[in-house]
This record gives sequence, C-alpha cells and structure tokens, in this order.
Amino acid sequence: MEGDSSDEFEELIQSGYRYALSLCHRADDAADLIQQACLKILQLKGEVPGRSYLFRTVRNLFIDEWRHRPRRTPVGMNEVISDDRLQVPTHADDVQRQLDIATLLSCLRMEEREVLYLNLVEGYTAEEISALTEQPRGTVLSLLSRGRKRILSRYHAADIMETK
Amino acid sequence: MRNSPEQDVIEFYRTQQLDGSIVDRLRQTQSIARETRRWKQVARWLALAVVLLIAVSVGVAAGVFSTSTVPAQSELAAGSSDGVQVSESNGDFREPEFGPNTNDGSTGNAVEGDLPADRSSTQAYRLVGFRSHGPACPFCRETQQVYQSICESHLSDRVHCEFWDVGSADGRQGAADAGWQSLLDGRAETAFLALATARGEIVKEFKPSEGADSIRIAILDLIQQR
Repeated sequence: MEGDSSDEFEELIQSGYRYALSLCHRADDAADLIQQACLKILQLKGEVPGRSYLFRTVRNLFIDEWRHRPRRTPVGMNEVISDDRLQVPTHADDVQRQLDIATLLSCLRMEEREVLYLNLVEGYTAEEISALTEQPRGTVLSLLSRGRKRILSRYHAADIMETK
Repeated sequence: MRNSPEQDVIEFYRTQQLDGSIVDRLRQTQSIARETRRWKQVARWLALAVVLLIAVSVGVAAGVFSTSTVPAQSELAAGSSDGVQVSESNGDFREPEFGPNTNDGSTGNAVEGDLPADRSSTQAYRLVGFRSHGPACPFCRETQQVYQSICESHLSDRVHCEFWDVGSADGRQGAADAGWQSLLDGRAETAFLALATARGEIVKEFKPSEGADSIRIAILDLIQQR
C-alpha cells in the first residue's frame, strides 16, 4: 500500500517533470520548475492533490517566473551534449547535426509543444487542454494542428536527409 | 523504418526522467509537509478548544455574577425599604390612635409611643408631643399634625417619638410613668412638643406654630451640637 502510493507519487512527479520539460525544453530548468512547484503545493496543501493541480501550478509558475527570466548565457555545445538525461541541441546547430525528435520539438513554440505533450503523452482531449491552459478550444486545436504539421514537415525532411 | 512522428514524441517524453534523488527529496518533503499540516490542524483545534473554554468560563462567571448580584441588588433594595421600616421601628413610633373615644377625650385613653429600650444612652433622644384636647381643638390638632409630620419624615434614628394625650387621667398617669411629670407640672392645658434626652432631660421645647420644618431643622442642629 505504501509502495503503491510511493509509486503513484513518483509517477506524478515524473509527469510533472515532463510537462515542465515541454514548457521550458531544458532539463535543468524543468527540474527546478517541478521542485519549486512541488514545494509551493506542499506548503499550501501538505500533499500533491493530483495531476491537474500539479500541471496548473507548474504552468503558472513557469509563466510567472520563468518566462520573464533573462535567458541564461549560452551553454557550450559540449556541455549540453554531456548531459545524458536530455540531449537537446540548440536550434542553431540544426543544420550541422542530425535532426532528431528533440531538435524537432525545440523548433516548436512553447504553446505548441505544450499542447502536443498534453495531447500525445498525457492523452488529454482538446477540451481538457483548453481548461488547463485557459485557452479557447479552437486555439488549442489550432496549436495542435500547427505543431503536428511542423513536426511532420521537418520529420519528412529528416527522413529525406537520412535516406540521402 | 522510422516510427510515426507522434510515436517518436511520445517515446521522447517517456524516456525523460527526473533524477531519483530529487524524487526522493520531494517524497521526504511531502511526508514532512503532511506531518506539519497535521500538527497545524491539531494546534488549530487546540486553539479553538482554548477559545471555547475561555468563552464558556467567561459565560459561567458572568452567569454566576448575575445570579449573585441580582438577589443582592434586590436584597439591597429590600434592605433599603427595610431600613425605612427599621428607622420607624427604631423610632418606636406608633401611629397615635386618635379614635372616637380619644377624640372626644371623654374616655381619657392615653396615646403613647413605646419608650426606647436603652434610655441610659446619651446618644438617643426623645421627641415627645402633648395635647390636652381632641382634634376639635386647633392647637391640639396643629400639635398633632406637626408631630406626625416630623416623625414621618424619619428625622433621625437616634430620635424616638412619643405622643401623649394628657387630657385624660390615664394619659396623664402614663406620661408621668414615662418620666414627663416634671415637664407637665404646672400645666393644666397644654399642646406642645419637646426634645429630651433618653433619660428625660429636656433639651428644648417647641411650639407647634414654629412649623414642622423649622422644628425638624432645630432638632437636627441640637443633636449635632450635643
């Protein structure tokens, strides 16, 4: 029983981390974001009530603090690659590097990445995403469609490059 | 063969994991936060209980105070009215019974008040009134009215009132027994008031024509001076 709740808690935290990753697309920032969100929730509630609550807190925190944060000084490429948890090259290196899915995702806008993650990974419907992100359902659908198109176009390009 | 782009996105995110040490830290933080929250609730309930206890104590104290003060107040009020009665009784004043027999003076019933219990006390005084005729006599009537007015005004606890109808033999005898013989000697028909000590020593005589108020003030002055 204790193990189940522990597993549930870990799964919840991992989901929140992935959602944070979809927002900021940096492993370290995502780890900081999920920790700050958890601390905030635990101070307020004593426990993490649920996934939606965690996602909303992460999102609000990201909007409040992380969006307005001055961008970090560019990290050297070697440093980024040495991070084995997330190898997310910057967009500037796309030309010279093999296009992978992380690069594809980094090319998307934050809003597109967010709705794609919620829809594809978490299985949220457009209605649920609309409620979570407080955007009209049409906007969510538009973001989903546009994100998919972008990934698909670049995906095919990568495929072409691979075949070449 | 590559997967579909959606599948690749899903797999990409599935492979991203937060460091286990961070998860453990968060788990510990959660348990601490739960305990803290529990203790906060306990503290909140305790504070509420203390507040309720204080409120109940104050209520009980207020109830006890009101139940003890209301009877005390009523007792005090009763005591004050009793005081009036006591002063009257202390004054040993008995309303003169001027009945038909007395009014005509034929039966010679004496009208007298009770004598003070302790006549030896120098602090006590006696206000005595005498009359020789019934109410038909204007002087006797005036004397009686002034006497009643003074006695009913609760002059002083130290003054005891008595009134004698000396027009009859019984009344004159009663007055003599009360110690007023020396005062009445040589007076065949009289109507006057006198202030005397408890032993019967005359302090001052008053004519009814002086009026009840002036006599009352004079009596008080005399008592104060002595």
